[in-house]
Amino acid sequence: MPPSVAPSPEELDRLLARLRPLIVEILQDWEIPEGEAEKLMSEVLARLTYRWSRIPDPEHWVLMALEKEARNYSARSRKEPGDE
Amino acid sequence: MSKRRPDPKTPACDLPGYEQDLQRVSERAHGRLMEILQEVNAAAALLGELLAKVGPERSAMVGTEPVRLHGLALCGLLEARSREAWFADPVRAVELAELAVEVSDRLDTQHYGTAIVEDARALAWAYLGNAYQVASDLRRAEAALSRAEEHHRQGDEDELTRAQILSFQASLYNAQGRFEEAARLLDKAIAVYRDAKALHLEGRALIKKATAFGYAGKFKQAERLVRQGLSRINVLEEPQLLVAARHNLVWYLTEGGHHEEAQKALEETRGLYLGLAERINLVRLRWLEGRIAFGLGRLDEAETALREARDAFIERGIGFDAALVSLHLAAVYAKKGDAAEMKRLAAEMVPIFESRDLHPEALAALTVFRQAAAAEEVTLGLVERMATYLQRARRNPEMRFESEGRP
Repeated sequence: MPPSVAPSPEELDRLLARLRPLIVEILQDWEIPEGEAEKLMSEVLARLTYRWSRIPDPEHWVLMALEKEARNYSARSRKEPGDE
Repeated sequence: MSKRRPDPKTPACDLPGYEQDLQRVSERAHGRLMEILQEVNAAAALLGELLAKVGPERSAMVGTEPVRLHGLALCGLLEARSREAWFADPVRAVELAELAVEVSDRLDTQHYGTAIVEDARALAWAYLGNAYQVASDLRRAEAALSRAEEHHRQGDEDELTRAQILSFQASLYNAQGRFEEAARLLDKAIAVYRDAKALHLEGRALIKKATAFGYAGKFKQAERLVRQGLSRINVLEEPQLLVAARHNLVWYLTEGGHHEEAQKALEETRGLYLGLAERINLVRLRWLEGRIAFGLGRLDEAETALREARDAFIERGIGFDAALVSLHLAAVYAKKGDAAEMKRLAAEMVPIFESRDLHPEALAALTVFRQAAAAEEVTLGLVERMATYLQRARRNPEMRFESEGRP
């Protein structure tokens, strides 16, 4: 059976609720400031919803994508001249 | 998950809380979700409108605001349509994939964000590359897949998109006869799918890797891989993949000389062929039956089955398969030592020469066969070498048949 094109709002809420502790852990581990966390997560969720039909394990995907975003953010912020 | 903490000395109690951020994210995601659902509905209507137009009218429509703002879902639909047309109508598959590229090119980065747009472009180019490959235009296929890689690097380098590009590149390598390289690329794709817990896609990639080994004549490895792939695929998601994989399994067993096992596997698969109710699959089934009967020494039975399969391919204008079955039929006559039937077979190949899907190098190889038949010089070895060549050269118009009479 082909997967649905997008999650339902309830599905998305349940996913976020289940992942909340792990999401917070990733954000803390990479010391993502408040406000930035919202941007990173919004980006990840936008991509998740657009790609929903081809992501076999959305929970796993969200954690991997957030980890990547957080890592990139951390690398970018360390490169900023003011930090050097 | 990998090591995350950039500075392990940072005490956890000083770390910020994210409750408000996550609450806002959730609200925003709901809004985005509604937009996407509207976009999906709009895309289906846009697809109909777009396909109803031709030439400049179609191009003009691609540049309009509805397409730029709803085009992402439209790209997905065009890619799905292109995929459906790969084997039945390769020219149409190219046309649809070209349209997906054109639409992806116009996507609004402000609306979607650069990462999503670049990923959509990467996928559209990848689909175009594969459509070219299926249509035997290997140079364009290579160029399109390079474009896919470039766009993938400019986006968020989504791993599943990467695996899709790798998988299409592997198909191109298979068509070019670069089987080991194809298998190596598929190993990378398989690792991505495994990591993403994409069991069905992992299974599909394993089946494709089996094809690379099958083309290379490594039937034992091909058999092992296709069995692994079969254990992972979701039959409900892609029933045709199951039939194709089971068909390939029987083929590897046959070509590997395990004819009785092949016969048993074929009996287990017969119902699937009938279930799909596609006439062309039944022709392929008949072809397999002929090959197995040949392997078991039942030459008359093999001749009947192969003749039926050959006639059906000729009737449908599928020249490549008609030529391959003819060579398998020639193997039957070579084994029987029947030079008169061999000559007749060669004479009956005229309609195959008129097929549009045979490239000049393949035609040249078949001319060698006809000449050998006329001179009563066809051996089982020559027939088998030619059949192997034709299988490998199906999508590679530049691959040549090396015979003693040809430099």
